Amino acid sequence: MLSDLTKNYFELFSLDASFDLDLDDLESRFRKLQKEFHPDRFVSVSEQERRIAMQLTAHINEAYQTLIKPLSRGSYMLKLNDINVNDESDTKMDASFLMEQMELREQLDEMKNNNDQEEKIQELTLTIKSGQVKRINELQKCFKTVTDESLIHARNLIRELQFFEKMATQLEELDDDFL
Amino acid sequence: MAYSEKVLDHYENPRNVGTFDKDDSSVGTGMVGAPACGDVMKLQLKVSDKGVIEDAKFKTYGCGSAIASSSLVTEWVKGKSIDEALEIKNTDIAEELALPPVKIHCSVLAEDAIKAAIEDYKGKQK
Repeated sequence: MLSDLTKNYFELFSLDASFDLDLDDLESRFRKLQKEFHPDRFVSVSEQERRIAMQLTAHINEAYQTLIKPLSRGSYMLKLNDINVNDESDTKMDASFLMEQMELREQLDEMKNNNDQEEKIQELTLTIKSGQVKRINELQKCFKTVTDESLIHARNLIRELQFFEKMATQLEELDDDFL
Repeated sequence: MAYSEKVLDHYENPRNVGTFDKDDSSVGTGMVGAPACGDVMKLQLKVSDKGVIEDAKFKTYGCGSAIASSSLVTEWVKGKSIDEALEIKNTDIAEELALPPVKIHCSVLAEDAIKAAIEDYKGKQK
């Protein structure tokens, strides 16, 4: 049981490290592990074993939350390859990408100041969605045959995805405000 | 987290917000981003024939510290030569604004924006 704590997230679910996951399969593996290490089953064991079971439950939850979403799954796979996605001293990104992001933020700002934006919100939501889908498909290719180059490309894609993620959150908040 | 008074001042009254024509050969545009928080910063410098920064404008989508950092550097670079502007360090910005450790990366963003803008300007002079 103790050794499970040091397993990486894929190993924990007895999966090969792959970006292309069957999410239903992941969920059933998660439920099974959750049951297996549920604190209720460790009532009559030593204090130490109980503590390990609790840590393991947290580890399993974290593993599931990380692997279920493409963005965090991709970041985690890069981490396994010793690549840091969010090095704070690395602020360089494709200038045209950043310009595009700025324009999207400007559109969002305009929406905040106007009513009757339902159509525009939908339009922007679609733009963001397609930006995300495009990059997630690219990531799939990057992780299929891993090379130094494909990992660098994957890192860029994940960095870009984080901007879309932020936009999507802000857009959701805006949408909620209107409701 | 509490912002320092200087951050609040720049946040509430940002200096030099705006845009220059990025195709103007006397304008250098620097675009930088912080993926971890999704911040985007654009800094533009208008440089005279003698290599002096005459004017600066910025546009930042990000937290108060990122906005304050970019607002501050637009004030600092004005009147400086491009070489002098390159000497501005993120630590100077962080110190002036009393940024807490978790916000240091905002000052890194602003320093890198100056460098990117000057690089863009120099590229245009060739």
